[in-house]
Amino acid sequence: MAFSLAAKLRQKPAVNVDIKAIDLTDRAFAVSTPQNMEALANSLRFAGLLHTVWLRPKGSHYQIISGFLRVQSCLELGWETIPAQVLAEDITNLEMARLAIMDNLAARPLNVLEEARAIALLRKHTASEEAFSRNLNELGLSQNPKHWAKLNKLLQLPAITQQAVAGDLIALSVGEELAEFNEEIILHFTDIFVKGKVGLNRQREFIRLVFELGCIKDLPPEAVFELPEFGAVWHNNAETDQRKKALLLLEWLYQTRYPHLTAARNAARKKIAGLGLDGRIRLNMPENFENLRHSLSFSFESKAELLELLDLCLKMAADDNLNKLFQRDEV
Amino acid sequence: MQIKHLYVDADLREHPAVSQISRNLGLAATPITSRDEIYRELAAANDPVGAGKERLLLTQNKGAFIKKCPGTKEYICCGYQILHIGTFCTMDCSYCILQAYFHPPVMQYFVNYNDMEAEIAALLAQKQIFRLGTGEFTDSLIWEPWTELSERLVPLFGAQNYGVLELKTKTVEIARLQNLPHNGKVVLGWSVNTPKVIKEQERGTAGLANRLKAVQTAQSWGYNVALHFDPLVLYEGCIAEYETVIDQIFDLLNPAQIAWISLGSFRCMPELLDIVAKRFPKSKLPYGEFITGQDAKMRYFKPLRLQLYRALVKRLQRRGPNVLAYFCMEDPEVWRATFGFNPEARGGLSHMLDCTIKAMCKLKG
Repeated sequence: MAFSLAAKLRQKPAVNVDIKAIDLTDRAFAVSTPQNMEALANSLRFAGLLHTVWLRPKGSHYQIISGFLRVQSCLELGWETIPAQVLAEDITNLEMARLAIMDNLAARPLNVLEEARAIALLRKHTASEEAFSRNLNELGLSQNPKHWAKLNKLLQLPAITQQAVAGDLIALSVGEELAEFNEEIILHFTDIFVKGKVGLNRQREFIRLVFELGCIKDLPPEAVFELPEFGAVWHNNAETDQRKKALLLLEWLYQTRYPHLTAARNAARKKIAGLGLDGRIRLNMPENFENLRHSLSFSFESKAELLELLDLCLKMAADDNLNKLFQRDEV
Repeated sequence: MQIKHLYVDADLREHPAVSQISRNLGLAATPITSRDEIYRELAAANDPVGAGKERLLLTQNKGAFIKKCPGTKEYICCGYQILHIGTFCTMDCSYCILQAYFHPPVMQYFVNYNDMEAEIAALLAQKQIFRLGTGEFTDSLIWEPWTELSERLVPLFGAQNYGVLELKTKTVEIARLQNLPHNGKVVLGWSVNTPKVIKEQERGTAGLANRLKAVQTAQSWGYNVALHFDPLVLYEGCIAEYETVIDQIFDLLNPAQIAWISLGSFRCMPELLDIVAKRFPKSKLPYGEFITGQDAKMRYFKPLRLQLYRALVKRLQRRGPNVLAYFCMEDPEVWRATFGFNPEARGGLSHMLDCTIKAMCKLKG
């Protein structure tokens, strides 16, 4: 396969193509995602086009097989023509797909979105499972069907979410979870995750809490985003730091999902604060309040400091306020 | 759900129980040499758990028939022993732990009765009081229409003086128990819940009124009975509804024939919640205010449990002051906050239950 394509490609030299004749909207063979466009523009200004783009005649226009970013950048730089290899019509769609993938693979490792597009391209243009598998193998792409399924779900997400996954702002596994929701919900989550720079575990927590709150309140998940309290934290909050706003939102979701546990934690914090502990001593509340076993922790670097801290602990033990820690508040 | 496929381990195809069960079910038993054949079918089903409820494998219990209930040190266990007669259930309760317990879940019934009876004989030979039940890995009475299990077990227990057998169920399949010589040594136990929980979470089970009617009938046949409020499910208005169930029980039944009443709030392995959410999308059960308990199981936040328990214990003490009520897998703090004592102070929960049945069932030991 590779040998026959090389033979076909040798037949034609590069030519200058009118850049306006290239259809940038036809992304049938697009693999690349927007990279550092400024660096590309600088390179084009300094050294010109180092690597020709690959086009195929299609009606009155040219279809891009490889070089979407380069064509886009040249257009923005005001170039009127661009050097291109114009592919012969006898090259098959599968060969085009392989060419598009190989050209990207030669430039850099593919990100997950590019990998998803590459695998989907091969899937579309191979006639059998055996041919699909062989092509994946020859191109060094994943042979794992579970991984394909994840990547396939990524392609079902809105473009902005796909880009967020490609840019590592949303984890691929989270993208897979998001694909279970409708577009409105996915965009809500994307907005929060991207603006709030939310980490992987918290992304998962957000999704779970929104879904569960919807179930509890008999609301579809999208309606949770419309709750006034949600808007008050995310949209109308005076806090300008989006990361802090995302944390406040998560806190509100948690508090609404677990009202009694949150209230117990807040009450315990107050009780502990009421003891006026030295900052070096930490009094830890019981985990989930399943029992009333508290713990103390502190560190010291001399015998004198240890004695001082123990003395403070004894004073705390004598404080009547300590008893409040062992009283359960009624719900 | 109805059994639609019957399988038998190939080397058991001539076992007399197989032809009996096959005849009663109206299904030919397909001999299998490997369980993989069934597992493959289940794996290919949209709902493997539901598919497992339609398939019954007649096989041998190659392990122990009698097992200790797996308690944990953090929570107080009743010291019950399990008689492992089979696995899984034709009824479909959302909260059923068996959905997550067996991989994959499939109904199995053990036909090596001789081995089972030998283990029971060995237990009786110890001449110590024990409580044994078949309702841990399955419902005790779903097997009634197809098997001769009760005809074997009830007379066996009726003829001894050291242990009681509890048959625990959500069915009303008691007809064949009427004339068996139980001699007061068999306790018929019913899991009870509010009509709302039964309707929403216990697919294919008997309704509360029918269950209570069956309990009443069992008492009229001289059986001692047990009632299990397990799992207690928290929802708005649940306290009043559970109190009503308690009232109905004491309005209908003879308290002197109630061996015990247990209380246990919903708890489960974390992975069960995902199964419930998937298999019962309308159920709100997975969205309770759960915490991870000291045994790593999900439980309702303790103050919420206590609120419900306090109300129910108060009602139980008012309506049935002489009936032994206890918690299934709760800690000493819960006991003290509701019953006002820690079972340890009375010799332990297991001892309390043993004393009760010793008197009620006239046991020796």
